[in-house]
Amino acid sequence: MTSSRDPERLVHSRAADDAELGQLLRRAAADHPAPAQVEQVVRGVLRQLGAPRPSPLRRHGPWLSVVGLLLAGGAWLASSRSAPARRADGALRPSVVASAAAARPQSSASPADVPSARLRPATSAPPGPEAGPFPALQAGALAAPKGNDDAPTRERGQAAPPVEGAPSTPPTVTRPLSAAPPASVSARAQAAPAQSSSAARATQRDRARTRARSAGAVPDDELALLARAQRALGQAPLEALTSLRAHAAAHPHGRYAEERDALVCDALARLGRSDELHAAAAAFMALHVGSPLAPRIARYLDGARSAPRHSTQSDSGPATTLIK
Amino acid sequence: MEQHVPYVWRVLRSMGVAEHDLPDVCQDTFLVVHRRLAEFEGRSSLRTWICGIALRVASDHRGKAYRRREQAQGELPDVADSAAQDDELERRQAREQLGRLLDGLPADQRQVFVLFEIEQMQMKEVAAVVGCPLSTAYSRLYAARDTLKRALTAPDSKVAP
Repeated sequence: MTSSRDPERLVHSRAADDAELGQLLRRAAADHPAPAQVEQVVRGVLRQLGAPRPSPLRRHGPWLSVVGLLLAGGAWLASSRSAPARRADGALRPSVVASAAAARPQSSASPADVPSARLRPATSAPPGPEAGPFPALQAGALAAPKGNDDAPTRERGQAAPPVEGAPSTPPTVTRPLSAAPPASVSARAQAAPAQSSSAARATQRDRARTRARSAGAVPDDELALLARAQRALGQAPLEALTSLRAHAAAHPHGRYAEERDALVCDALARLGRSDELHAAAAAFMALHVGSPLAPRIARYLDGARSAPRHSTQSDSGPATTLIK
Repeated sequence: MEQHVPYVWRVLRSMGVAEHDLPDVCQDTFLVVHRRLAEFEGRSSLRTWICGIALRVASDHRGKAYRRREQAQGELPDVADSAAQDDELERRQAREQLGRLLDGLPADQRQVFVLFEIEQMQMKEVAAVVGCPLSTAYSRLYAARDTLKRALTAPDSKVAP
């Protein structure tokens, strides 16, 4: 262990003035931890490595609130240029309502905190739930088909409690990366505000059912859908995206939701849909904080930056057409 | 992992991590090792690489303890002391004396001294771990030796705390 150029170690020194220090060093070198201490360390490390990660929303609620606020700001900027947020009857457009709810802080939000006035549009483009700055987020590649009202409408970590008494805020509108767009949920809540509490209860039942399904064994079709998407990814990314969409509809909180969302980013990168890719990547980072797949998502973004930028609207239509 | 725990434990202890914090800091070290294992390129031995991580974790830990204004206590209080524990007591006293001596060293000299004298690594490995030229590692080692010998001959060096 000693190189020929190295000085003699004090533990081996025979010099009298090194004797005491050498003895201390010999003791220190032989001072091993007890086997129980070694086992304690090993067990602790294994426990931390093997423990299931807590929900990102629960761990990083405040940060995600900030991210949601930024997304809502982007939504407001884009919708102020493209589409009105408020219909003729004064009701907020569902996608804007969803963005506002997503921006609501987790702990202390009140209806008055939601900057609804700032969400109002400045232009008069035709209203519609599909317009927005993050098509992949609002109705896009990661979302289940419209009308899938059974999909749970809140992320696993239950980011924000429902705000009661909000006149223009539907009871449950935030949704995960892979959940259905809440357009019909929002519309229903506007049409019948008196039924909001029963709708919330129904949503909670759906959520519980989904959680129960997710807690059990991985369904065969979940794996089959992902395997099909993975096979198709190289040759037919559009087909892969369809499979992933089907997976998101059938298993919004499935065991492999994180992998699915990463595959969606991969497919979007292969399709060159950089706008949707950026939105999907931002949503992925927000939903799956600390994911080991994050470097891969960053690589997709790097690739998209180096490749010529394709506009979703001009080249391939909005994300809704992609997944339908 | 069991084979790596003893020397990580020793390095952490020699770098001033308090006895009651050693299990936690040791765990933190191996969690960092696990997280960064993909970055290990094999240019040095695994032991050398892990020792480098342990040095940084120990340094972070000491910084945090300083910021929290913690009063580091060397040992947890004993519940009982019997004749059978004499050997352990002697070892503990030697450990404390060496700890006090090492506490008097600058951090860069301490790292070189611990890795060379206690962990018995080659100087070129030591230089790689601490990230300095080989000649600088030598000079740090000699400076540390001089400081420690002077401290040992000082009249209050053997006074128990």
